[in-house]
Amino acid sequence: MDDHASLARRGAARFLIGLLAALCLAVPVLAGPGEKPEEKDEAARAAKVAKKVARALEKARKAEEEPVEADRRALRKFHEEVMEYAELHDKQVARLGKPVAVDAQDCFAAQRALARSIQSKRVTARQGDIFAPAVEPIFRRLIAVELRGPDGLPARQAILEGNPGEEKPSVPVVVRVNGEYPIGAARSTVPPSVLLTLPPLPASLEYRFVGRDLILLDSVAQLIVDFLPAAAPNRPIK
Amino acid sequence: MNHAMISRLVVVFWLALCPAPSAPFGVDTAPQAHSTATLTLPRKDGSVRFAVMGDTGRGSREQYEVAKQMVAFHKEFPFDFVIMLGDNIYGLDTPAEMANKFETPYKPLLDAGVVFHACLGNHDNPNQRFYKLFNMGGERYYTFRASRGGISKLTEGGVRFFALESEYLDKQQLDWLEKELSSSTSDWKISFFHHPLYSSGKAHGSALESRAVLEPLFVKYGVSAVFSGHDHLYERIKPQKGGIVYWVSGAGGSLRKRGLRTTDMTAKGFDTDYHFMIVEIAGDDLYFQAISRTGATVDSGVVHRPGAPEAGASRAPSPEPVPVAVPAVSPAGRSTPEGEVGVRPSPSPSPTPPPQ
Repeated sequence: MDDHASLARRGAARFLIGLLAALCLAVPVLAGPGEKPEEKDEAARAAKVAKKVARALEKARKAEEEPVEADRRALRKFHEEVMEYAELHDKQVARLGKPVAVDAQDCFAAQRALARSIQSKRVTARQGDIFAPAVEPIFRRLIAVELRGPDGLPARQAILEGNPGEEKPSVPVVVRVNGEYPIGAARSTVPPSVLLTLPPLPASLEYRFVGRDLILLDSVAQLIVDFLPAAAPNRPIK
Repeated sequence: MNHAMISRLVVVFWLALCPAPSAPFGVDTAPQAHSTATLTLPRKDGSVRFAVMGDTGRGSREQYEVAKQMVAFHKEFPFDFVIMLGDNIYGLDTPAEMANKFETPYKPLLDAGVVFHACLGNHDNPNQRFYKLFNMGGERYYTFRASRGGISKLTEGGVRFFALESEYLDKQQLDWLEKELSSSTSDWKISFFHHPLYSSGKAHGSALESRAVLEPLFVKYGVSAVFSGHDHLYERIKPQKGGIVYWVSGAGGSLRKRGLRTTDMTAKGFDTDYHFMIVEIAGDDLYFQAISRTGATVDSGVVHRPGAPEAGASRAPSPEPVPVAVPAVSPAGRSTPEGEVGVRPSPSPSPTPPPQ
């Protein structure tokens, strides 16, 4: 009898454990693949993003053709400052030699030599020399428009991709003018809708985000040429 | 509660009561034992042969083991070049680290004359474009042509690759891409870059903004296949607009285990071990094989070029699998966790004095 009772107890216990296990497993399974709303509507979101990017493109084209009068002077000044820097960059590259198809040692040495050379020519450079006060609000406005609302979510998420201020672990980047972008640090994605609306840059310069700061980065010397603090609005990414 | 949910509950309940539940809920294919490693590509005369690897540059044991498999498969399937899908060098990129994370693991391939073509990922120093072994010609985006037919083939058909920098798709790059795509007369146009336009990866997923600007160009100018990394797993996406097939191949040296959630767009996925791919293009057919760190085939098949006349290739009998003698690895061993970089301490970069 005892054996029978024991067997029955063990059977009941096994059943209960099985039931509990089933419930524990069922919850994640039911919420699992293919069930999340964000998966279902990827096509719909993609279509909205495509429209948004098309609008950004159209806006950029219009801005190029008919810039707003109030912005014209500030943007022209920004362009002049950028081109002045590009000229300095090109002169130093011409002096040091452009590295093309070199081994790792020379690649590394070339970047550092160019950085040192440019740093020595810009010892007095300060934040705001290129992102001057007059052009700051234009950049902030252009960026804010592309990052706002539900349609701006993919752009907000894209900025966090590889952003050394957000991605962990990452080599930290100290944002300061004439400072080096450290080797080994990740680089943020700059979403096309933002990139297409910001003023174009020569090949020697690029925009990047570090945290919410927009930096102007020398694409060869890996120097922070100037930056715009908190250029990206503090908005949620979910 | 619908029938699917009820079925799942029943299955879960049954599995919970089973004495030895063995079916995992993860994605797909447990790799076969390495003793069964085979080459499934047809090795046709005059075909274009290449390998694909992404997110490799950690200098980890796993990266080296994948590299060994690539060398083993290269003996039976001598591919001429490798496309690298970004994140080629994580962390420090000093000369010593370049050796540790690239030159040493792929030395047998480099010594055999295999050419590597890289694109930039978000962990890469853009100055990798000047590094001669990455064959980028000093450019962040570039194009090259592959043909095994020699000079006579250079005026016709062939395969053209378009390497992009997907984290910085500015107007200059998009204008360049449109110009190059529109002027290309190649039968096959293949693009590769880091961020996937389609991905079911949990960590990153589809890059929708990039898709908005790139996909219309790909469809308009007849791109047939696209390779990306970034999500540390393998996924083949079902043909999308324009019949384009997209691959995510981002686990050549980095792995996010169980990082894939199967979605409607997934044709095949693998997220339990590292991998690389080999590809063969013959006429209007692209044969592909994805191979795990143990040498097991995790996906293979053939894609007929969209827009090309229907041919018998897909109906042709499969080629006889060729056994490949692959090196033994220990897949149960320690995995390099996400974000852990390298296995060797790096020397500090030697300071360079400022120019006089």
